[in-house]
Amino acid sequence: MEQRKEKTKKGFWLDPRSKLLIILSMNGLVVTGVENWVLSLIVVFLGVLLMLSKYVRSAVKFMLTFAVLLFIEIIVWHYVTTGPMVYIIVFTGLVKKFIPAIMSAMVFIYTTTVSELASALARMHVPEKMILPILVILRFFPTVQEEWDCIKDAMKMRGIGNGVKSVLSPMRSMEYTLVPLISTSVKTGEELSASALTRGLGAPVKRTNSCQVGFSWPDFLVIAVAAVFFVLITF
Amino acid sequence: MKNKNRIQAKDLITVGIFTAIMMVVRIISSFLGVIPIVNAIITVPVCIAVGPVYMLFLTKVKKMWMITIMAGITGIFMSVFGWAWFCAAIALVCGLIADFITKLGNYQSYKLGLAGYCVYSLWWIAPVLPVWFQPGFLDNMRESMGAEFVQAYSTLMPIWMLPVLIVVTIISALIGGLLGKRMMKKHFVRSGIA
Repeated sequence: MEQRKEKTKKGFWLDPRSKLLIILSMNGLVVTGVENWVLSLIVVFLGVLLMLSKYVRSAVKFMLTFAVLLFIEIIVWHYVTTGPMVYIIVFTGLVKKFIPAIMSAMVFIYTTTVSELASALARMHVPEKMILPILVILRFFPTVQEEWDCIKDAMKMRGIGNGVKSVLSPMRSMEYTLVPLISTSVKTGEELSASALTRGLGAPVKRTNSCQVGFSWPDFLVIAVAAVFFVLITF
Repeated sequence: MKNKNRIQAKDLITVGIFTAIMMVVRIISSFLGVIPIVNAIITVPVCIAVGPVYMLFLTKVKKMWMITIMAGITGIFMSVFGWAWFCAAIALVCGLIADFITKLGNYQSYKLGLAGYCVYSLWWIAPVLPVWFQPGFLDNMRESMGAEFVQAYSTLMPIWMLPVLIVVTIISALIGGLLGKRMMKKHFVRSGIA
């Protein structure tokens, strides 16, 4: 336990709550119109955060994607103003707006351990009834992903599910993928629940957490920047 | 014995698992929404695909608040991943109503469960709402997407589209629920997980 604490505290570390604030400040993006320079600033800021958390490759990938989209948009905007080309702008506009949302979610998911999140949520006075399902969900996403890959492999092996046929009968391909996905997930879930209960999760006491969370100076910096973005986006 | 009707850790884990599955199914089926016009009727594929999962979830639900918690958490996650904040509020309300409807049948009745699912599905309209109710939304869109697109969009989406959308959503939720029942009979009851 000591070891893990040291590992998380070393280097650049943000409180989960400030990461949540970043995400919330980006929330207005999808519904409101934002000018390109604000959007670019946000993407650069999130890219730096990702880099500081040692996810340089995905940061670069996102920033490059954004730059390419912006470039395409500017080119199309200048040279083509009518006709079906407008739809390209619609598409880039949509994807462009989602990039910051995805990036801020990634900052959160990649750098937050489950116990850190539990501790932070408990200190935000989120009811226990909400915390537990949230933790299960976060623990479960990778499992579902794994099962999904296995199912796709199995389908490939049987020669079903890819190509024109699966597109033409969406109901059947849905059945082929959904049924095994649900069955395996439910089974895994039952095991998870049994193992958690034997470790005393259902005990009627207040739970404590060995993981300490707290704000420090990078948090205040990040919160300040997020506040500026919030103002820029909303007003 | 007193605790029998209260939610316990096991129920919360069940809620978590099913919420996760539903969210994954949702995200996969809503990829169609990348096509601009389709995102108005994105409720159709989503409601149909989520139906079976929801129906299986209902067989595990025996207590009040489980559906509400599921809806609330789904809403929160969707807001975190870039939807507007009011979607979470609408999801919570829809989940609460669905919970009450399902409770009328003591969490046993299939028909009331299906009705609950229809109500719960309605929150999927939430992301489209700003088109009508947020002043200046179309102007913003004009800036970012071009006047022509907005013209096309607003002729496609007059205010009477709202009731149409509601009806379409309810119908696709019904299809999803019926599909869920069929799948349950065919697969889940037989393999012993329902």
